[in-house]
Amino acid sequence: MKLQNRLIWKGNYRITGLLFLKAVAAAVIAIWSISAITQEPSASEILGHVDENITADSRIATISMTIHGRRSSRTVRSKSWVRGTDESFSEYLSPPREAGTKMLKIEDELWIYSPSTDRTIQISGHMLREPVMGSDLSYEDFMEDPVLSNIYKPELEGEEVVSERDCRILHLTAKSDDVTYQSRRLWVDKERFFPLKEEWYGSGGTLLKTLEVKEVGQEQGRWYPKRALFNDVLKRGDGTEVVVEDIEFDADIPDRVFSRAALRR
Amino acid sequence: MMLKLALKNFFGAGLRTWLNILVLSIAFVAIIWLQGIFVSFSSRAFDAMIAEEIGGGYIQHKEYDPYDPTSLEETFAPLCEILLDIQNREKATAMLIYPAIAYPAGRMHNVTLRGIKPEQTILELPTEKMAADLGVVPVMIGSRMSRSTSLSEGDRFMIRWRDRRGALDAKEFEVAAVMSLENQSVDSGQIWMPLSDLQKMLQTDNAATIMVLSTEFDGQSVMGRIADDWILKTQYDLTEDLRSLIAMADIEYYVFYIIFLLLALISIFDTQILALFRRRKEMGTLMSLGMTRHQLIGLFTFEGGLYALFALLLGAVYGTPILIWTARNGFPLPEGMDMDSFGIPGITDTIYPDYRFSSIFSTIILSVIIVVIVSYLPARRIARLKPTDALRGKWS
Repeated sequence: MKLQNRLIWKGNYRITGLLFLKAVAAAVIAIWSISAITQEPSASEILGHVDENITADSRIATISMTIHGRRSSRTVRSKSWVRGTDESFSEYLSPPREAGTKMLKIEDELWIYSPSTDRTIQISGHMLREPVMGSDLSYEDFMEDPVLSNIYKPELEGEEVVSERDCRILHLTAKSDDVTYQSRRLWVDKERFFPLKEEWYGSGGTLLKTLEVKEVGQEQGRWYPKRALFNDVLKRGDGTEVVVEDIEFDADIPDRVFSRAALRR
Repeated sequence: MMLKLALKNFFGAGLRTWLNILVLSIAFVAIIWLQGIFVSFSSRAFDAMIAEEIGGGYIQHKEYDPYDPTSLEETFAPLCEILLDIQNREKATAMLIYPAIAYPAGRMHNVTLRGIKPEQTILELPTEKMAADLGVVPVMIGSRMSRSTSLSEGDRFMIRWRDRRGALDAKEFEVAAVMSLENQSVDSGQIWMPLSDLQKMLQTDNAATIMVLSTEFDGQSVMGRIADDWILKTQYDLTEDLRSLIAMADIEYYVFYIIFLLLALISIFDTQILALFRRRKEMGTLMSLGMTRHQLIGLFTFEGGLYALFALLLGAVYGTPILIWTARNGFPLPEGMDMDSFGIPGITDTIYPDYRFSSIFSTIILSVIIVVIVSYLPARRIARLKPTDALRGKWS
């Protein structure tokens, strides 16, 4: 009798155990499915999307840069050719004083050609700290790796509405000590994965520069900052407004554009 | 008899003699004054450079080049035990030199940060003022820097720099003192701050670009025992450019010297020529009475030399109080003149001439010799003079 009872109990236990396992598995699958639908993207995923948006295989753009000084403002127009993250070439179109000035960046080297002196000089050392055409951007800002996930470790900090768009706040911390801005804060559009506002900090946590995207454009399915305001926080002035007049992504740019010979051409 | 005759002829010329004496005395006084100014330039330049910048010389990082600001980010190294020891014994003081950008009132200025110990005594700078606890890092600037940046004592401003690894940072600083510096190379574009703060900012422990040596310390005594990163630059090496500049200034002094003396000498030369023509009969008579040609040349040369003698006496009468007054009160340079454009340290708005007995004496002797030579040159014609022709008023 005892043996019979024990067998019945064992049989029941086995059936109950199987049912329980099935229920747990179903619950796990259900939870995973629900969370997969509603799950927030991770900080790394957001930064990855941001990188996809802000970098392209190549692009050709005409840009006007208005530098708001303390007393007056002046506008500099330029055309730039960019391939990947290492090669870029710009030619200034106006005002007449700056027209013909060309800038070439290949990896970590930067050259400038000035038509008035007919000379090409390499910008290095302390000259990299000089502002480009008196703007709020320095030459060294151009030398940074534009792929943020290569140099920063992201962390989600919260959410905020910027320019009537829902944004996630990403706090980026440099992966190595040699990154110019040791931390950044990005307000990334939740839907478009495009940063609408940025703050760049020094290693001691002092805010150094800000970027506000005033208008976003879309070209070939890609979002880009149509009008943005850069501000060197330490400098007095109303910042530098950059307007992208036209832009073409993934354009075929010949190799000769990214050569030093092109500077004198 | 010769002296009597010479004095009689000398004063007999009347107004012409006194005019010559006056012109020559003005030239003498002007030359001595000018020499005082150039001696002052030279001595003050060296003094200012030694007191405010180079001390007794440098033990510096081998790649340090003060004329290449692009190299400053790389040209420093940690101090070894031997260098730290000479600093502790107050035989040297470490200085870390690094480029940065200052933002006084929101304007960008490229600056050079100079980190130095506030308690140092090697350089004659009021670095002790940087020991003040202001809540932020205290800095000192020179008066030229104060003018160009509109910063005064108590003003706070931001400085941005790139640390040793390449990361940017910025911080607020306060001007603890505005120094009155004679040497513009440690003033214009320079910001002095405590060494330890600059080392912290750059994350470099015990690093320095140069060790400024005391004037009593022989840098050579430690050179064999320290790393190859460091080289010795003696006071002589560091003043080489200044010596070249002073040499150029000396050439300018000699040009002025020649101009001043020439003005006086032309009038003496002229007078001597005129005397020779006018006094032909007198010369013939003197030769007939037994005076030799050489004695006659001597007489005329002596008369010329008397100009120098009387010019010296007259110059001493009015020149001495003038020179003493200028030495005490200085000579103010014209307003709006950029003193720094001279490129010589120590030149201030007012120049105080430095008259030295040795240089005054040598100038006087040289000037008198030149006057005597100029008097002798026209008198040589007498050697060819025949007494008979002279008596008839003719040249042989």
